[in-house]
Amino acid sequence: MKNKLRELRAVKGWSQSDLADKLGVSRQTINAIETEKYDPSLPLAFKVARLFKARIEDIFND
Amino acid sequence: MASILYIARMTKKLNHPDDIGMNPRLFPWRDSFKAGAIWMFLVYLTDIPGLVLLKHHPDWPMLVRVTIVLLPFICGYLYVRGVVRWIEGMDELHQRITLQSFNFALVVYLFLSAGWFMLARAGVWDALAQSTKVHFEYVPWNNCTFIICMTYILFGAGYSTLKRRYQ
Repeated sequence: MKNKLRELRAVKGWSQSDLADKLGVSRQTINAIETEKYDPSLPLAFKVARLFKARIEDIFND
Repeated sequence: MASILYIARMTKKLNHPDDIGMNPRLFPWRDSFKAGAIWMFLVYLTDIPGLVLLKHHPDWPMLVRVTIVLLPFICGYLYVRGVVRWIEGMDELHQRITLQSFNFALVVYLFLSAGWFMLARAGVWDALAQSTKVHFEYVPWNNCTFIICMTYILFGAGYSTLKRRYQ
């Protein structure tokens, strides 16, 4: 699944660790999502969407 | 109060499979204990000595013998419970990798034990013992210590392979 997490994170000026802390996951999880090796669960996708004040489908799309 | 709980939740360290290992210099015991290591050591401490005691004291009362046999089993149950709680404290990616690694370990263990019994039925281990003096016929597949050691080794092999998939 493709996603815009890296771009959104860059806009905010956050590191992967910063985003991981805000979402309550590990930095490796953020890296795996950004490199599209791992698709997040629905609760995590909702957390990401709320954090960036966007809709899930605007961040994640197939 | 809610903000204190929120901060406590946010600062709670997530469990990580890389935090545990056998070398105390590299891996703090606290993290290993969170993963049920104390119960694992109690299984080791009660299992083999228990078998030796039962072998040398066949005249002991049944209640004592049953207690000696069940002690490592109960410790093994508490070890599994500790591991489950340790996995629950991980984030979702590491939960997935760890559960996949445990699945790998269990499936490989089942295949190895099934293969061993098939070869034993074919008489391979007896023939091997007679020709090479290597005694594979005594592999203790139903022993708690052996099961935990083998699962731990197979889990490590599975984990080191599977974690590369997400890097």
